[in-house]
Amino acid sequence: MLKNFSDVSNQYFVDRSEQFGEEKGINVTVEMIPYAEFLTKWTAAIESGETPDVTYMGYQEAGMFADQGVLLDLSDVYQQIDERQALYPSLASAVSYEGAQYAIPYWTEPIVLHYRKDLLEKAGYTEPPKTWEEFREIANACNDPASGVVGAGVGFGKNNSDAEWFARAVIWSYGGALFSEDGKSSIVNSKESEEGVQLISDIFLVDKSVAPSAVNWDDSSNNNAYLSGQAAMVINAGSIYNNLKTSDEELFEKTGVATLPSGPAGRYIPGVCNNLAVFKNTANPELAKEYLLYMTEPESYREWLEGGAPLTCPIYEDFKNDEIWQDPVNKAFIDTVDSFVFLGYQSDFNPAAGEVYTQRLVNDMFQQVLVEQTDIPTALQNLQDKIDAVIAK
Amino acid sequence: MRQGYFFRKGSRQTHLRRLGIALISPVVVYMLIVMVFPFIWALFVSLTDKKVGSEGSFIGFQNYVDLIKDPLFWRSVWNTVIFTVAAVALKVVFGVIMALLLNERIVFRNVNRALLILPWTIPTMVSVLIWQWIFSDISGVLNYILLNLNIVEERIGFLASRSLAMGAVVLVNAWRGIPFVGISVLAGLQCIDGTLYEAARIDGANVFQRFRSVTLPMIKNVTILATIVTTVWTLGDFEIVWVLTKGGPANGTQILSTLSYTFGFMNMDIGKALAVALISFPPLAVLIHFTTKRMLDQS
Amino acid sequence: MKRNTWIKWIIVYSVLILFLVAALFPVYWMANTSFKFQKEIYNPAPTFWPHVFTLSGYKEVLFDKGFLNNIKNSLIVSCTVTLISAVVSYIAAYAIVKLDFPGRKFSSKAVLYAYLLPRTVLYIPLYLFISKIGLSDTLLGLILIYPTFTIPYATWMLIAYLKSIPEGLEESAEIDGCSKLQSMVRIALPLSLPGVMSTVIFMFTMCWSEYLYALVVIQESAKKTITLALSNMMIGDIFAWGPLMAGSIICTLPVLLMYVLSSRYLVTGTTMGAVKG
Repeated sequence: MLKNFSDVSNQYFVDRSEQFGEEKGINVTVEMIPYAEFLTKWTAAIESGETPDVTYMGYQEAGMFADQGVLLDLSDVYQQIDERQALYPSLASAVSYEGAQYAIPYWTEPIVLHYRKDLLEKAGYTEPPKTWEEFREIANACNDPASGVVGAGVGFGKNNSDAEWFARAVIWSYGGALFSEDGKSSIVNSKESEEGVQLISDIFLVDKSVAPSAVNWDDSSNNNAYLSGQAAMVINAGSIYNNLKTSDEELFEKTGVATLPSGPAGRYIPGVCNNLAVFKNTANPELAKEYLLYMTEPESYREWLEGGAPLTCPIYEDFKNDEIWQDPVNKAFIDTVDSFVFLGYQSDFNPAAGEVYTQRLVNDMFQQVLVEQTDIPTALQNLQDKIDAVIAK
Repeated sequence: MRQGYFFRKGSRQTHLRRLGIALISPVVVYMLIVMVFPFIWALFVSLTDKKVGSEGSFIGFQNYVDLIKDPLFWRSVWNTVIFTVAAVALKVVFGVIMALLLNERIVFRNVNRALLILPWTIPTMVSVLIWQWIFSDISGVLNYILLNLNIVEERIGFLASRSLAMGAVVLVNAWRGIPFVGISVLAGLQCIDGTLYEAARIDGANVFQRFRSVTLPMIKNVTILATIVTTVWTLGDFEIVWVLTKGGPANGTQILSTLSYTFGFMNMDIGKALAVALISFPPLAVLIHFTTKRMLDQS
Repeated sequence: MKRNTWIKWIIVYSVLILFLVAALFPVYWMANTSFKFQKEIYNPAPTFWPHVFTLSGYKEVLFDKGFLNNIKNSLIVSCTVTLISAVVSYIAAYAIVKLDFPGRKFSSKAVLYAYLLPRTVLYIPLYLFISKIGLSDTLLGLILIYPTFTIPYATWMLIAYLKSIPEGLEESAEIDGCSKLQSMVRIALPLSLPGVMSTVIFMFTMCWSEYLYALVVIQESAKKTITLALSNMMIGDIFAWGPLMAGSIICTLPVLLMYVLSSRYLVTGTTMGAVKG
C-alpha cells in the first residue's frame, strides 16, 4: 500500500486491514511503501512469482500490468462497489482495460494551483488566474529575478512527472489531444495543441518567468521553490499545502489554493487515480475481493479519507457534499475531480497512453522546443510519430 | 638419497597445488553458485523481448541490432567513456596525493584520516541528495556563495546544461571515490618497510629519487589494482547519475547504466536492458584481462 | 636543510586543509541541516549554522521511527558478510599470489568478471534465486548475496597487498620449518595488516550503505536496514529533510568509529629490523 503523508491515515489503513483479518480469521500484513520504491518491488515480485495478494497501483501501471496479464479481473467487485454507493463516472475509464476493470479506485489526488496571495496582491491581482492566458499574465507580473522570485514555478526535467501533467492540462484545455477518439492514432500535431505548446514556450522563452534551470527541474524542484518562498505559483498535488500546515505557518497563511486554470476549450485536468489491484496468481482471489469490498465500505472509508484530506479525494461522488469539502481550499481540491480526464484522451485509457507517459515523451518534446529550440510544429510531429510508434507495438 | 629427495619434492609440489586449490575453493564455489545462474539468465533474456510480467519470446540478436542502430546508445557510450575517464583520473590522482599526505607525520593524523574517509562512508543516495541540494539553483548553497562573492551575476543551473551536468556528476562521483583510492594506497604505503627509506637516504637520494625508487615500486600494485576496481565500479555506477540528473538534460549525462535502467524499468523492457548491460562485457573483459595479467605473473 | 622541511610542511598542511574542506563540506552541510527546523532548511538564503537549533530530527528518527532497530539489522548483515568475505578472500588471495595450481589465472580473473553485470539488472536473477530457496524477506538472504560484490573487491585488493610485502621473511621462516599455512597466518597477515584492515573497513562500508538488494529482498519493516529506513523518509515529492539528515549523520558514525579504533593496525612498524642481515 502506498505510504502517504498522513501518518493518521496510514495507521488507519493498517488497523482496518487487520480488523478484516480478525473478522475473517486470517493473517493480514500490510506493507507501507513510498512511491519511488514500487517499481523495483513490483518487478522483483512479478518476476519471482512472490507477489502480494493486493497492491496499490497508479492507474497507468494498472493498465500496463493488465496488458501483461498479471492482474485479476475485478469487474464484478467494481460493479458491487458502484451499486452500493455511486463512484465518480469518469473513474471507470481509468481502470478499464478491454472492457473489464482491473483495479478498484481508492482515492484521487487532485493537482491544484498553489499561489502566494501576498505576491499576487503586490502585482495587483486579488484573484488567482482563471484561464491559462491569465496564468501567463500573472506569472509575468510576479516574476522578479532580482528578489529571487519566479512567477511560474514549473519545469521540465527529464523524469519530471509534474511536467507531464502540466503539459497535458494546457494542451487539452486548448482543444488538443494526444490520442484520437478511437485510440488508434495520435492527433497531437494540430492547431489547438500548437496554441497550447506556444503558450508554455512563451512563458519559458519569451517572458522567462521561470527559473533559469527550469528545464532540469525534477518532481521536487517546484516544491522546493515554493517552500523556500521563491515561487509565486506552482502546480502540484496537495503535498505542498499539507506540508505547510505543520512546517511553516507564515507561508501557510499566505498560500491560496485554486483549481487549475481553463483554456479556450474548457477545463481539463489530468486525473490521478490511485487504486488497489489484485495479482492474478494470488492464492486467495475470493478473500482478496472481499477485502476490497471491506476497505471501500463507505463509512470506514470516509474516516480513512478524511485523515488524509484534502490530498486524498473520494471516489464516491456524493461525498463532495460532505462538510469537510465545503471549506474553500478543500473545495478547490474536490472540484478538480469533476474535470478529471485521464491519459489516453480523447479515447479511454489504454496501455499505449500509459507508456507514452512513462517514457515521458511529452517531456522530451518540450526539451526539444525549450532546449534545442526546435520549432513547434516539427516537435509536435516528432511526438505524434513517436506516439504512433508506441500504439503500433 | 637423491631419489628420496625428488620424491619428497614431488609430493610437496602436489601438496602445495592441493593447498592452493583448497584455499581458493570457497571463493570459487561461492561465485559459481551465486553468479552462474544470473549470467546465464541475463544472456538468455537479452535474446528475447521479455517485458516485466510477460514471458517474452526469442528474438535472437534483435535487441543488440536495435541498440547498435540507436544513436542514443552511441551517445550513452560516449558519455560513459567521458564520465569514466574523467572520474577515474580525478580519483587516482587525488587519491594518491591524499595517500602521500596521510603518510606524513601530521598532527592528529588518525583524526584526519577518519575525516577524509567520510565521503565514502555516507550512503550514496544520501550524499547525492545533499549534492543536489548544494547544486540547486533554488536554495542551493553553492549558488549562494558564488553570488555573494560576486563570482557570478545570476544563479547557475548546474544541472541544467549538458556540460555542467556532466561536470557535476563527475565531481560527485570523484568526491565519493577519492577516499577509496586514497586509503587503499595509504594502506599500501604503510606496508613499506621504513628501513628502505633510510637505506636510500644514506645512499644520497633526495625526496624525488626516494619517491621514485622506494615508494613508487611498492605501491605500484596497489595503485594499479585500486584503479582497476575503481574503473569497473565507475563504469557500473548508477545511483549518482540517476538521482542527480536521470540522464538528462536532453540525454547529456545518459550513461550505459542509466540507459539500461531506463529501458528496463521505465519501459519495462528487460530484454533490451540486459542487452545494454551485456554489450559492454567484451571490452571490459579484455580490459580486465590485460591489466591483471602482470598481477598474476609470479616472480 | 631546515628551510626545505619548512616549505615541505607548508605544502603538506595547505593541501591537507584543501582536502578536508572539499571532503567535509557536504558532510558539514548534512550536519548543519540535521539540526534545523524545516522552515529554516527551505530558507532561500541558506544559513551556515542553525539559527534555531533543534534536535527534533534526531529524536524523530531514533525514537519515532525505530532507527535503532534498523541499525541493528545493518550491523548484523555488515559484520557477518565482512567477516566471512575477509577470511575467504584472504586465503584465496594468498593462494593466488604464493601458490601455483591449475586454473589459477582463470579463476582469479573470473572472480573479477562478477562486476561486469550491473546491479540494476543483477538484482532480478539474484532475487529469483533467493526466493526459490525460501530466503526472501530474511537478513540471511542478504548475507547470502552481499558477498557477490565484496568478495571480488577483497580478493583482488588483497592480491595487491600481499604482492607488496617483502618475500624475505617468509622464505627464512620456511627454511626454519614453517608450513605455508602457518606462514599465511603468522607472517603474511601481520605484514599486510594495514591492507587487510582497510579492505575490511571498505567491505563493511559497502554492505552498510547498500540499498538496492535490501530494497528487493526485505519486506517486513522490522527487518529493514538503515538505507531502507532512510529511503522510507522520502515520501512522495517532499522529503523530511531534518530527520533524513539526522539519520544519515547517525549512519556515518559506526564506520568512523571502526576507523578510529582500528588505526592502530593500520600502521606497520612490526617489521623493522626483521629483514636486516
